[in-house]
Amino acid sequence: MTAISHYKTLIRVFACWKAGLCTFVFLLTGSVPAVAQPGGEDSEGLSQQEYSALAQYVVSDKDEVLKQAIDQAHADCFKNDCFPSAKQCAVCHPQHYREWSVSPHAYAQLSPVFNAMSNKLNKLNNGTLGDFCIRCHTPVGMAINEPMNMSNLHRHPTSREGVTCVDCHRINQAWGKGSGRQALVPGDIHQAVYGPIGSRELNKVLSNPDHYGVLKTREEPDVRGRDIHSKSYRFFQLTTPGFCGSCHDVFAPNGFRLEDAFSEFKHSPAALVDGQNCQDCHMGKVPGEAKGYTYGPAAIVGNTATPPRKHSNHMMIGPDYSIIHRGLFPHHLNAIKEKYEVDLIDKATESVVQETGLATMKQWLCFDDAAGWGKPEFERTVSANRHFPAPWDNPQKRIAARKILNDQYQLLAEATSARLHLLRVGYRLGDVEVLHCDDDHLEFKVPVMNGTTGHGVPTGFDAERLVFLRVHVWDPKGRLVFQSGDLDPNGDVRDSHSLYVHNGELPLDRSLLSLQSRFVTRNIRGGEREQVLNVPYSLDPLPYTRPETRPFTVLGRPQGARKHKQNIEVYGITRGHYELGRHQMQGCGTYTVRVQLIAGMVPVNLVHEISDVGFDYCMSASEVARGVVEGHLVLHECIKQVQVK
Amino acid sequence: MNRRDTQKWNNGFRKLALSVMLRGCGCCLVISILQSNIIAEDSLELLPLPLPPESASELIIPDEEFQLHDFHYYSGPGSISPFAPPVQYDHSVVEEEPPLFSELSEGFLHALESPAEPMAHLFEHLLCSEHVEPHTGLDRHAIGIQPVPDRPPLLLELNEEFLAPGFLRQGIVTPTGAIWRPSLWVFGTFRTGINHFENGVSPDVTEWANRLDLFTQLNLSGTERVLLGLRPLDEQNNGTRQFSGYDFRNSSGLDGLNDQIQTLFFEGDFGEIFPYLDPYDRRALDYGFSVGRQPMSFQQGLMINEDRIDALTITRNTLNGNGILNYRGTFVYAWNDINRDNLTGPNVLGNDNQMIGYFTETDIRSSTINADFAYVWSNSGADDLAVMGLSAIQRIHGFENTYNSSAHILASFPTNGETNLAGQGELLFHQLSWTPHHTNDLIFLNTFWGIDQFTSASRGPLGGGPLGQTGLLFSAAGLGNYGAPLDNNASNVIGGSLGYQLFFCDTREQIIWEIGGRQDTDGTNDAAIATGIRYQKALDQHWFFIMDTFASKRESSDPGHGIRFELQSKF
Repeated sequence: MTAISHYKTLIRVFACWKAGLCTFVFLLTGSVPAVAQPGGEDSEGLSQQEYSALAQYVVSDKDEVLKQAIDQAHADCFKNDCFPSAKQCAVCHPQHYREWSVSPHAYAQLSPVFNAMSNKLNKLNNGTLGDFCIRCHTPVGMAINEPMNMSNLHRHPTSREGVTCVDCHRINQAWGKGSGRQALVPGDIHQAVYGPIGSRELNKVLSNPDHYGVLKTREEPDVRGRDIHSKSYRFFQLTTPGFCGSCHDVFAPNGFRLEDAFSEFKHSPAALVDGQNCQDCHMGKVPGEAKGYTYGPAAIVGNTATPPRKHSNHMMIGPDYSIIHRGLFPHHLNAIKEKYEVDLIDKATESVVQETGLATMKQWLCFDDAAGWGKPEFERTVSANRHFPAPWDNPQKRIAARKILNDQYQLLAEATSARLHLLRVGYRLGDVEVLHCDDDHLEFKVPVMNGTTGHGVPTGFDAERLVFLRVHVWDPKGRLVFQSGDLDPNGDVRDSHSLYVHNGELPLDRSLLSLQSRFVTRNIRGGEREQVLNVPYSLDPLPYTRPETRPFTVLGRPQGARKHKQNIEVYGITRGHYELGRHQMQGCGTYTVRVQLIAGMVPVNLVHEISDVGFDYCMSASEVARGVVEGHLVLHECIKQVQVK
Repeated sequence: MNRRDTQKWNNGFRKLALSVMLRGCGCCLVISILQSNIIAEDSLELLPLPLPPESASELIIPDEEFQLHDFHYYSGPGSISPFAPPVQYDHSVVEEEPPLFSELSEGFLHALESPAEPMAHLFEHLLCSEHVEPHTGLDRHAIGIQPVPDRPPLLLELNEEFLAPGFLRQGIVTPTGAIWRPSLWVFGTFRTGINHFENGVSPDVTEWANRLDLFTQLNLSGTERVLLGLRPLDEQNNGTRQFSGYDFRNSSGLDGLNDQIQTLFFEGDFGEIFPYLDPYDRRALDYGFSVGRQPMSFQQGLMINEDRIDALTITRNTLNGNGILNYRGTFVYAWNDINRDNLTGPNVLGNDNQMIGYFTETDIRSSTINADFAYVWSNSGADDLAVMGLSAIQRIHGFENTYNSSAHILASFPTNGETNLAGQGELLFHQLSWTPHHTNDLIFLNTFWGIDQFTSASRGPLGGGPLGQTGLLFSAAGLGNYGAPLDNNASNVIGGSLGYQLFFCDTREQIIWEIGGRQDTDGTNDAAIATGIRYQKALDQHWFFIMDTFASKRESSDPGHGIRFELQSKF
């Protein structure tokens, strides 16, 4: 049993004892404690009177007493855990928190697509894939031994934060390419952290209470002051590509190379010639370009900022985008109320003295954003008998929620802008090259180039990254005569994975240029075939993930599955090739060709493939797909008039 | 972003742009701007974003507030939406017509598909199991998070558990600077089966056979490990394996108990073992290597298919450039335990053989190319052999469906004259497969042509001849003496197989029906034909069941038949 388990057990024992004592006091006095009850799943949105009624019922049932004790144990465990939440770090590092809160790292565990995919792969692999996927997506959740297959609504708050502060700043060893299996250094907020520079500024802060205020550290735990870590060690590897590579070079124990962004980088001109690193482009002031860093305070302690220094942008934007309720993402300091959190209420005035988050995640999911709840024009029209689920039956709560959502939308707009810039830098679209042009034949090519020198595009999870060319041609009369890169009714491009194409209901888009790499699995016989997921169930009916029994370096992959890369290498160029035949050409005149380079997060066929294990937040497959398709970005667009004589 | 409003932004702008363009004549200036890219590379360096409609009236924020770290974020009404409208397929557009060749060839393949559907219905009734048929549309109803199987632990897990949640301990720092967290894992497979095999050529078999593949891995890090493998129930003798069990024909037990080391190798990544040599990750020292006794397979087992071989390998991976999207090159030097492909009988252990080779895999956009070379020699020089292999694996997009193609050309050249272990010849091998609409099933049509006497560089005792990949009928079971119903030797022969793999019960239950045949091309008139069926089903999280049966006829011998039942456990 690990130290963590001992710790949790102790907390639970203590909590049980505490809950029992409370119950005993209640039986003697006949009154409930003055503070509001935990907002547990079954008691959300209850008034004080309802709590009292509930408490009378609760203590009359032993099972319920036990349940209350367990809830309390959870609450205590969550409060005193050894991996502090980013919210705690945000107190002194607001800028870092704000950037991180909308980052792909912050979304990593919240993503319903990721969770379903991890579960589906585990289902196909008969559970043997274990925490392979989720270990990177919530290192804290795995460190505290959370179940792999559970809703984020029930996860520990820090676990839910995905790749949160401690996942990088509580690592003190250079783990190398380990697919995310680094050891975290446990400890509360006072535990030393590991950063790129060291403790010079921190020491100044600690030694200057007149300037920065009184600070509560591990060495001085009894003072009343702001919680702070008293030590910050320089961890060199944090500044190197290898640190990123410990999660961004993903190969399974069976040798399957799911992602090799770091390996691509190591062989790139950016590394070998320019001497750049990942952080230069992905944490600098301009997303995707090594144009230096900004300067700013590392921390704001009290109301005092530390002297400016190099600031690394923690947004680290990528191709992913959120499709979940805006109340849940980006992370917001005041949005989520944990189940164990209670508002401090002044009994005399019955007013809230200190408020926690606005609503639980479950309650947020009931907030109808699209209907305009909380907006003045909506609130003016609400009739008295209209029903709202708790706590949104309180108009002040709805208005407060709307204010939070305004912040959220603003931050998402910034993130989208950064994402667009990153992707536009990564891909270049050339001019349409007309190869042949007469009244019964038009042939042209469209070049797409890699705009980076650090890796192929797309990179990383390139087998599920959808980047494609959409091409339309109109004849002189304005009739559409050619299409490629259009979508099927599900939202998929018409490649061989489209369900409409697969089932013969739409023709294959034979001209499609897609940069999505392909999972290829070995068949029992008949070579290999593409599959949406890389599980070779044709070989035997019980696919298993176990360490490869032959050196996986030799083939660079297991026997049963591999990835066929389709991205564009550094300095590379690929061309979409399009041809219109005599059936499509409508005589002479000016033909209009429009080309768009479009980037999406994942293809919809993946959503379909993983949908049988269910999506979190009560989302259906079609809702998830709609969110995915709505996030498609046009990176570049080009229109050309072709004169056919 | 509200979908309706996003579309409104997009549609508004695009309608305007297109109407201007298509009306054409007097708007050259606008057209020329559009021609030079609506979202030009340099003219609009940063795209403005629309405000979320819910908050449009409340979020008119001055630009300077968006200037974070010198990177400008724009947001405001009147801007162009960067979001792509979901443009759907337009049925009115005339599609390209397939050429005659495509129509004929796809028509032929479509005809081959025809037994699949009635077979699926038949077995659906026989097995009382649902045939896997993916629906076209997406589910509109939320089903919530469904249960998935728990992680089955390995037989033994010391220190870090294999892919298990839980707190990870700190690692130890090696003198080279690498961080290792040693863990010991024991895992493997156990197979037990009853075989009855009479093909009219080799001795008849009725037996109970067992096989245990037991592995112990000392895991050091994500890239370094030591793997020890034993097969204590089947023993390797010269060119054959003796499985523990019982021979019903001779009423005698079979003893294959042994303590031979089947696998023992160390593998790692040079750059990861010596991180101090490249602290900034700018030297590309990521050379993978392995050393020790290991299984080996190249060209899908056509060129090398070894259970165990003592070898050193050095691999370079993730190289790219000039249209090559990924390149892997592996150098191999093997010095011991090299079994040789035998033209006249079971494979045999090469006498003092050594092997050197270079094996590559290259991803280009259309295909994956494997180009391999191996040279085997001995001190006596008697069976020296050079073998080359070239393959292209791709998906061919037809008008009706997508077809998986895997084409191989192999050639062997004895350097000191032909022998049974070193023949001169070529092998052309092609695998074609596809998935019929509305199913996940697989239909495969594999063909081969062995010209003269092609000989693999190295083949293990259970590897048989090179043609095992043709079909289940061409390969042995790997458990006991249940051999291949059809000869898998590649000397002067032409043939192929056609098979149907049908999936039931979420792929956990499968039927494979196959017919195959071969015809000698050296005038011996010893053709053979066979048909067989395999049923396999996962029983729980560890066990699955296999049943194989076949019937065969070879011109020169009596009809053959066989059946086997196997239980396999993974742990």
